[in-house]
Parts: sequence; C-alpha cells; structure tokens
Amino acid sequence: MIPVFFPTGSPASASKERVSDAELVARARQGDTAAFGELVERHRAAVYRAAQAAVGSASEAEDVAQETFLAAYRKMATYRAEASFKTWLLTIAWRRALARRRRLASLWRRLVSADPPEPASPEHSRTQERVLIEAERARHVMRLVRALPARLRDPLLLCAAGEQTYHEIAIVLGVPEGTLKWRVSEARRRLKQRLAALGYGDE
Amino acid sequence: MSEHGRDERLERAIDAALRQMVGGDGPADMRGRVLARLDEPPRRAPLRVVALAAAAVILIALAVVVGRHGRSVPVPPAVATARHPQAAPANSPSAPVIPHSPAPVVRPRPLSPSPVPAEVETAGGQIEPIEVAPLTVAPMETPRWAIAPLRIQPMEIEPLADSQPEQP
Repeated sequence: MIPVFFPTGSPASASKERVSDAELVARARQGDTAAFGELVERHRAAVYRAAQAAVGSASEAEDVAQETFLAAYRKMATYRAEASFKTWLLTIAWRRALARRRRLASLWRRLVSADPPEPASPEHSRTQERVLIEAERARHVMRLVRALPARLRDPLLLCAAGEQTYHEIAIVLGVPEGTLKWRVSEARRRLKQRLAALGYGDE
Repeated sequence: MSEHGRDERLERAIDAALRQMVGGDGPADMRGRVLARLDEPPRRAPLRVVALAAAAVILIALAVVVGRHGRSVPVPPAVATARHPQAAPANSPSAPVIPHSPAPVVRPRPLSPSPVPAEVETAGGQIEPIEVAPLTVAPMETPRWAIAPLRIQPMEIEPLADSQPEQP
C-alpha cells in the first residue's frame, strides 16, 4: 500500500490542495484504501445530497451514499476518466438512489406525509413566532416540491444541493444542459404560482 | 405591494425549503463506515438470487423424478466382477479374483420392463446376443359395416277444416 502524505495542516485540507482526484484514484486502484478514504471524504456531501434529492429521506440517503462508495471502489477499474471522478460518482449515486426509490413501495405516501426535517438553527434576533411561521411555510413548500413531477423535482433538488454544476447534473440525469435549466426554471415557476395561490408572498 | 417584491419573497421561501430538503452533509464518519465495509463481498442482485433459487428447485424436482423412475438395484458381486474383466488377470488363473471395488455395481432399472432381454451377461464377461424371432402380426380383420339407406315414408297431412269452431 502506498502511503498518502498530508504535508501540512489537517489531512483533508492538505490533501485537497496537493493531491488531485485523479492521483487519488490511481492510488486507490492500486489498493490504497487511505487514498480512497480521502475521495470519500471529499465527495461525501455531494453524494449524500444527490441521494437525498432522489430518495427524500436522510437515512435512505446515508445508505445510498455508502453503497455508492462501495460500488465505486469495486468498479474503480472501469472508470475511464471521460468525466470527472465526481461526476462518475454522482452518476452511480443517482442510479442507485433511483433504484431504491423505485423499490420503496410506500415511498410516495411517506414523502407526502412525512414530517420535514428539523429546521436550521434560527438566528437569535428572530422571534419564536417568526420561526414558527417560516417553518410552517417551509413545510408547505416542501409538500409542493414533493408533489412536482419527478422530471421537474429531481433537477430542482439536485441544483439546490449546490454541490454540482449544471453541466455535471446534466450528465448525471442524461439530459441536455438547456433542458435541465428549463426544467429547474419551470419547477420554480410552478412552485411560485402555487404558493401565491395559497396566499404566500403577500405578507 | 409590488409584484417584484412578492416574487423575491417566494424565491427565498423556496430556497429555504430546498436547503432543508437537501442541505445535509451526510454522516461525518462516512469515511470510516465505508472503509470498514470495503472487504465485504458485494451483495447479490435480488434477481440473481431468485434465478438461483428457481434453478435449485428445478434440480431438486428433477432429482426426485429420476429417483422415482430410475431406482438403482444392487447387482450381485459376480456380475460386477464380470463387468470389469481387467480386475482378473488372464495369465494367473490360480490367483484369487479380488474385485477392485467391493461395493456392488448398480444399474438403473429400465423405465418399461422388456419381455425379451436384449443381451445376456455371462460369467466370462462376454455378451452373447440372443436371436429373437421376428414377430409376425396377423392383420386385423374388421367386420364390414353396411349401412342401409334411410327411407322416409311420405307423410300425409290432412287439411284443416274451416268449419271448426274457435277455442274460447
């Protein structure tokens, strides 16, 4: 096993600057699990968010993310570097997440009825009442997002994850970049229209 | 209230909700969890498992069918020895014949027992063909059927009388 050197600072930050993904991939191919661990650390958020966009549940997304990395490690020899390693990884994650979404028979009911995750920690200046109002509004928006057709919802959530460019997401979804942008725009337009019909935005 | 302001507020609300939906970074110990599972054998696809199970069931069913119709029967050791002539060397007649395998040779029972054996095994290990007289089957004689043509007698129908009174 070839050791991975982290010359300065914390391992993650140092290796991010000094070692490229391609180099880590080459080392991982030779059986360097530490190098592969570094790849996991670099891309875990992107993979997790992509999985979350597809399956809608944190625990399912965790499972998908782990399975994605394990599959990537086993398929490492098939990676041809035609796209970036991250895009390749996200494509695996997306396919696995969609497969899981299909397998879950009760997914739709769960998505519609599930309680949303806990909201992010509120700012200290906001009042509790304001936080509750915003949480309620967020709940409405999430329900509306989940009610969107998958062809609009998936691009919207993947773009909202903020970890990938339009180009990368277009590759992952297998659609032209222009189509992707239109779908995101259309999804937002529909959401705004429905929220306005519910009386939001006038306060 | 301006349209632009409302639009901005809705955009912000949507962004906030989307951040909550896909905002996590995943578990911090993801690296450790993944590395701990690298040596695990890959999971078999469910379809492959189903196919293997189906193949196993078919094999078991075949084994049961063959076992019922082709039950093995023990053959006397003498015959077993005769089936392996190399076990008894020809140039040492005084030496006792010891079969290589003490277990009896088994043959599957034929599916339909034949009344005339096709071959007879002898102690010398040679098989003499049996001549079987050709079977002559007399042609069947079937009685000839004679069907007489149908004859239909002409029917005579009397005309209805007009003077009959109508029934109430």
